[in-house]
Amino acid sequence: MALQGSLREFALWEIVQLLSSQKKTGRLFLKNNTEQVSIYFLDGRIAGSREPGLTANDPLMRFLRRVRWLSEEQLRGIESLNAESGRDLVDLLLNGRYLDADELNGLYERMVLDLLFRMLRWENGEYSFSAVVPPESALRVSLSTDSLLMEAARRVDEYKRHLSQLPDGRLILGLRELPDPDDPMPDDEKELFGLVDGKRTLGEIVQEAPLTDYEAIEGLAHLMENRWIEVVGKREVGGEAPQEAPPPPRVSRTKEVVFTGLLAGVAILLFALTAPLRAPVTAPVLPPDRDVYMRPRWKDVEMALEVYRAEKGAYPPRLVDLVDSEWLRATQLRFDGYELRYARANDGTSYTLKAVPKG
Amino acid sequence: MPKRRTPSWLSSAGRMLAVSLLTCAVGGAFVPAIGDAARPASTTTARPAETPAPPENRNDLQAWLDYQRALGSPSLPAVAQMFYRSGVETLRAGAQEDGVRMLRGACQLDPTFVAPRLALLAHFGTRDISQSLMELARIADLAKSHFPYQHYLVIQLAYHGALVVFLATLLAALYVAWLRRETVRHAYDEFLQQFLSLRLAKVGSWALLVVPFVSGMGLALPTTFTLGAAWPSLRKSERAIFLLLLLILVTLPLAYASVAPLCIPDHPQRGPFYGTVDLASTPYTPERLTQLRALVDAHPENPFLHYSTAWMAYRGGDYDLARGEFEHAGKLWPNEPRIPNNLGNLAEMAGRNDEAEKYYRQAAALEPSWAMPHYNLGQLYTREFRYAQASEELARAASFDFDLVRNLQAEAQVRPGDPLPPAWGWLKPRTFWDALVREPVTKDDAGVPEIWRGWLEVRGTPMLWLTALCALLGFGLGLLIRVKLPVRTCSNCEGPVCRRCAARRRDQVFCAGCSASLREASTPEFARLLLARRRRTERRASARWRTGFSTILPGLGPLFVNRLGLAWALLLVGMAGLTSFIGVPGPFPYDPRVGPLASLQLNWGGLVVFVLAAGLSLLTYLVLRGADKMREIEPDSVKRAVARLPRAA
Repeated sequence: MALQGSLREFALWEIVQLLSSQKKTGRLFLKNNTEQVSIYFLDGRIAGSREPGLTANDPLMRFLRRVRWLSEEQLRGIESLNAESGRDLVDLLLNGRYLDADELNGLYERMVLDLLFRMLRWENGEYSFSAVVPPESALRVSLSTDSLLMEAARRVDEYKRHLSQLPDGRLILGLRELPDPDDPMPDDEKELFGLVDGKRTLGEIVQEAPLTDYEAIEGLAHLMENRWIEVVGKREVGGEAPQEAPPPPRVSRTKEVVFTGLLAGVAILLFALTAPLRAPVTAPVLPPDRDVYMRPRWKDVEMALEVYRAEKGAYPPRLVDLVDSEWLRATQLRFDGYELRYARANDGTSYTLKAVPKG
Repeated sequence: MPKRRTPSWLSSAGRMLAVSLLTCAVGGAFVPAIGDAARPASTTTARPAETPAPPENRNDLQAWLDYQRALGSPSLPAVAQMFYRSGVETLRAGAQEDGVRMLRGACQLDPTFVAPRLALLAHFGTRDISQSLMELARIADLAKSHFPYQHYLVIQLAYHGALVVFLATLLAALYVAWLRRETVRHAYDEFLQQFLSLRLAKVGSWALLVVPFVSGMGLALPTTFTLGAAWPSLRKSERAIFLLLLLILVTLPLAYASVAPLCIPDHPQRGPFYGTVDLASTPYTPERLTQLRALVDAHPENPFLHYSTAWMAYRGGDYDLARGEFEHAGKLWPNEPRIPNNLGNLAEMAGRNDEAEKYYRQAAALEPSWAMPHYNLGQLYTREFRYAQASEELARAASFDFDLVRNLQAEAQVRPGDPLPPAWGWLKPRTFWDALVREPVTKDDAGVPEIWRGWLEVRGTPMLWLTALCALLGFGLGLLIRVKLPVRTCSNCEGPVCRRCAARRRDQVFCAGCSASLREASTPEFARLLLARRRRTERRASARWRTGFSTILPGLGPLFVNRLGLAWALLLVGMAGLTSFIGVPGPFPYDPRVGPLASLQLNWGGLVVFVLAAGLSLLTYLVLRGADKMREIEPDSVKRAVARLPRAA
């Protein structure tokens, strides 16, 4: 036995760092009460944690089941194939085209990170390192050991913060806002979002999410920070999950009539209050011949009179003659708030035209 | 009434020599006169001692033209109106030659009358391009030199431009409000469901949405409110349209208040012009002169009044008064070259040639590139038989303003035997513009023009506050909706959904109908099939009315395919066409609205522009909806949501 001791004396991250810096090859065995974990190292790099073949506690198989990457049916098929042929799980996954190499590497990395995250939170336990050659089934993780350690340490710290937001697994999470199509979510959060329904508890969501515990908690905390979801209640110990929501109570007829009347009343009140704004602007203060804007119309009348005179040799006896002779339209002789008073001299060579206020 | 002095010493031979010198100076090749109408003020002569009688036959154009000439009046506007109507009616009756003659006569009778020129332009059209271009050139020349026409054109353009931009923006905003109506209506619906039955809540939500638009508060304010409420769900371009509408609504009353003096037509009792802007083409009347003298007494500091009184006095033959008033005006406008030029004319007419020469030199010094003093000097030198100097000055005048010299020559040919008249200078349009811009806004000026009085949006400060209030209330409601019950669109059919009514599959939301389709399906493939069928049904139903509306209204087509910028541009073009088709008037007209001008003038060219814009809108919709149509194909979101069914299960 090359290296062994208690995790109280030597923290896991110190041991892993040592093995990494010394570029050791072998197996690190960790034990905490009933839980036992082996991590293989190859030249100081973490090379996995699984034994050849497909053992009952194969960590990769457990991980695939946890993240629901494959359906139960598919996993059972793989198990029966292994039982018949004794082939390694990785071989079965790749050659059975359940996964491609990239997907497997990604999943393996997530699995190792999850493992380290759990191990780093152990406060007690024993460790021992033996210099054995890792089995061929061990996969080398693409991330360096230092990177894995740093990420796992970050997760431990973040986890504490998330727990302050979501301290109890019995909290019921509900929707605060529907997803915004213009603000796309990461895939993990989308998965979680579908599970938040105002009925499931935090524990149930974490359990049902196709993610690791940490990933699920982190995703939920992020959704909470972004105000997509909120805590809507807490399930009592031994409480049942609520059934389908009851149909909304029927609105009473009286309430309906009162509310409709109220709405109509408000509408009428608003209509009355805004009446002055809708009213047409009153007639100009000045008479049309002096108002700057009415003046052009007044000039039209004067011009029509002059044209009539040029045509007939005399001004018209009545203003309406201008309309009859099609020099003006009848509307051109109307001035808001005023009426026109026209008088022609007997010989038709002069006239007086005045605008007097109506009434 | 004092008579205009005729220089008896000027022999007929001398006059001929002057003309020939003039001809040599300008190159010896005169083209037919085209600029006489555009320069009504420069060649007018004083009034004869006795007023001739109007022609007996009032339909005889030539008699009226002779009468005008005998009267020495630059224009006979009423008679011009008469012949304009006769010309239009004659043209309509098919007698083209007579019609054109009468319209041309109307132009001669009132050179600043634009309607007969436009009628001639419309008549010649493409039939006689040279005639059309000639009329167009005359109108352009008038626009260049005649302040009332410039004023009218500028104000008309500004008014029309503002109206077109406002209408286009309002319509674009209305379209957006219609497209986003469900965001607001759905929230109303959900709110009302707390108090009303489902059916009544739906009716009530529609009522709440529609009532503001039919309450008589115009369209802009309800649109502002609705778009404010829909703000969180608006796209960037839609928000830009909303903000543009808001900007227009806020700036329209403010801008109007600040440019109000520019929009005011000249009024005989109001400064700074007191009805003098078209004095150059107005016939002389003793009443007008008396009125001007009274105004001068009341406003001795107003140079326009002094100048106009002097002008009217010279036209009436009262040269002493003219001289006195020109001198007064000269004290107020020491840099105005027209004053010494006109004083020079008065001195020359009184036989004070040395003084006249001094005045002309002074005018030429004040504005070296102005042809008139050089022309007048040329005339003066000719009369003094100083031909070399006369030739030099006339050549200089012709080099500065060929049209002026040519018009004066044309006038000399019209009245053979008469002495060549001196050229009188009326004020430049720029002088009027400067005064107009300097004129302070008074309370009376801020009044709303008659034709704008129907607009709620320009009713000043109250509407400004009301607009701000509507926008704020809308924003408030939008914020409340966003916080309390955000409305999204169904991932499949794009109908409105909120968290109360939505069915979710991962991050995708489905409306009640699509959710039912999902529930019906036993396999993912069948679910996708049902969703696709529902999506197609919804889209085809909306595609029918979209195509229909795209055909009728310009701008709707691009809007339906999310090209809001193009939609707004097409709306601008469409509204420009539509408003010019129905002839939306500005604050004041240029030509008096009598006779044919009194009735509604439809501009068919405007309709063509409108139809083109509508056609382009439809074309854009039909071409670009290819992308829109693609959305009938299953969206990725639905594909993902449905494909993961087994895993979620």
